[in-house]
Amino acid sequence: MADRITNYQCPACTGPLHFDPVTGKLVCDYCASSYTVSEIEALYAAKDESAAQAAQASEAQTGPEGSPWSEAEAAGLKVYNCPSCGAELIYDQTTAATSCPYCGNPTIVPGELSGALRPDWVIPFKLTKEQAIAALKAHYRKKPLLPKLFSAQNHLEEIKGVYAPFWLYDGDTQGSATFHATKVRHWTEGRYDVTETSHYECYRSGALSFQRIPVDGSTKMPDEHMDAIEPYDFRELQPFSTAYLPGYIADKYDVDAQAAEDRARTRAEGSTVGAMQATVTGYASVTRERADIRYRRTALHYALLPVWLLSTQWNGKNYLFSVNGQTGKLVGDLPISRPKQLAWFFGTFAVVTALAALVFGVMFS
Amino acid sequence: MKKRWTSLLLLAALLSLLALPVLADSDRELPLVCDTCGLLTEEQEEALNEKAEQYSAAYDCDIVLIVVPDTEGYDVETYTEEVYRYYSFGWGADRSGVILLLSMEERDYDLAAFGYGNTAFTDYGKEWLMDDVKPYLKKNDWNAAFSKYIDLCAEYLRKARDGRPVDSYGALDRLRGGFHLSLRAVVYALIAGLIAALVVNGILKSKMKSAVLASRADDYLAGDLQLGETDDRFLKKDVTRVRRDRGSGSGHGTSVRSSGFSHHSGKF
Repeated sequence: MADRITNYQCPACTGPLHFDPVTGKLVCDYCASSYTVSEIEALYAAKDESAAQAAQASEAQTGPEGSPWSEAEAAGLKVYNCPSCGAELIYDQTTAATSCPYCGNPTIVPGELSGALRPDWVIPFKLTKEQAIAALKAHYRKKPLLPKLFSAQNHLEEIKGVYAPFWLYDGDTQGSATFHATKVRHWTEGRYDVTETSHYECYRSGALSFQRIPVDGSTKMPDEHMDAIEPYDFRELQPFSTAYLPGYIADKYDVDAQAAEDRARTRAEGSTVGAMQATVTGYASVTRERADIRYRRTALHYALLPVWLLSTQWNGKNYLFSVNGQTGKLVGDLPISRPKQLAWFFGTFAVVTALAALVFGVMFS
Repeated sequence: MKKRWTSLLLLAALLSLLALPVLADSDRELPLVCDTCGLLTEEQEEALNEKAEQYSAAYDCDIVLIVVPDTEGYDVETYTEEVYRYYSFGWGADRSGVILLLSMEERDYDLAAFGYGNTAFTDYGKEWLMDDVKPYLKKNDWNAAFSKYIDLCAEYLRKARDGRPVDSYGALDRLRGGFHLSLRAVVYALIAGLIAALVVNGILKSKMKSAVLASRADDYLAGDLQLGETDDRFLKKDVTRVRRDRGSGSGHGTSVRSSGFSHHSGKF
């Protein structure tokens, strides 16, 4: 049981520090002192290591049977005491950094992010909570089917800044694909419009390389959301440091690299066929007929990428929105107002039918 | 010209023996279908004549078809007018009729109308009619060509009787001509409305759903495609021909000469 936890404290006043996405520094909640990540890293390097060792030693000593929290552990939960207010907290086994719900103290469980579980890289948050909320409000605009009361009445239930665990795959693809293509010529002969369609079979073979295809390694994060908030700018990847985590929740992966790789493979194959199709030029239409693509992984990295999760409830149903914590791109499904949908459907139907009746009436009379 | 007309007259006298009952009520001096070049068999000519008589009587407008070896030095339009007058073609007091004359030597044709025929066979309509008949004439498929001609004449006369002769109608002309909502127009309009409503609904619904799984990894390419073998092989060729919609013509109506005839002539 990892009952030894770390919360970065201000070297000046010992108040809790949290990572500020605007300045990219760790800021004290009390005296507003700020420190660079490297300064805090140097200060806490030794402390992190000893905390991890202590956590492992503690687990080895007690074991699940001798632990008073064995039932909680069996359910995949862990327990710790907040170092700030002393509250006893139960947290998910895959949570590595979180905040105390009573005093808001940001804490890190270093054992969860060390050794083999330690990420290679992290992209620090650049988007603040306020910017994430503003992005959600903007998302509501220009949505004719959105229930009027949804944006007016709903209140955000929860806003979480999460460092989501991602596997980054480097890989190569090689193979071939066959496409069906057509060329079309039009001309007139007397009172006839003549169309000539020539059909072709186009074969292409080739190879393509990929770098850092991201696949989220957490079952807690919806795959559709994590794919849709891409892309991340990987030029801003930083070597991992827990100093980026205070103030956010950090998950460790619960889907291993092998299991997650299928999604990277599918995407790489899709891009390879697409790139081959792009070379079939000079035709009016090109459609894929068959493809044989082989994927090979060349490198694997583990990274934490920033995501704001905003959840809200409306009419008894949960709505989750994800915001890319680096770029601000927001995704999330919105509720549909049935009356509005019907009004649009029948309104469009009536207007277009009336206009079409006028046109066809004239044409066929 | 007189000589040829006389020869036609002799032929007419001969043919009249065969078609006496039909011609009894008319002062025409030739049957409606008259082939002096032997393009048709006797049976074919008889059948065509019968059909022409039937339609002519139904619409009070003679449908005439004359085939001659040449036009004796006259232009084909003058020759057609003379033949029409000389052999007293035409229905009723205003001598209504339409005549197609073929001159085989130069492969000239003239389609002329007179009286009510000028209303039913507009300039545009005559052009369209010959567009449908000419492919058969070019193939020397005479019986099919003449049968098509008589059928189309009947169709044009029916449309004219319904108040909408075949003509080049622009959108404004059609509106001026009266708005009539046919069943076909209603069905088409309903289908168009339904498709538009489904498309608009689909677009609006797609705006509400933004979370979808990615199928490609284009943002993570580490270089361009290393293209290997390429091979584009021709498979086959399809050709479709669609007749252009009516209404693209410029003018409409019928240009009637001082002689009372309107013409459309050319080669086949």
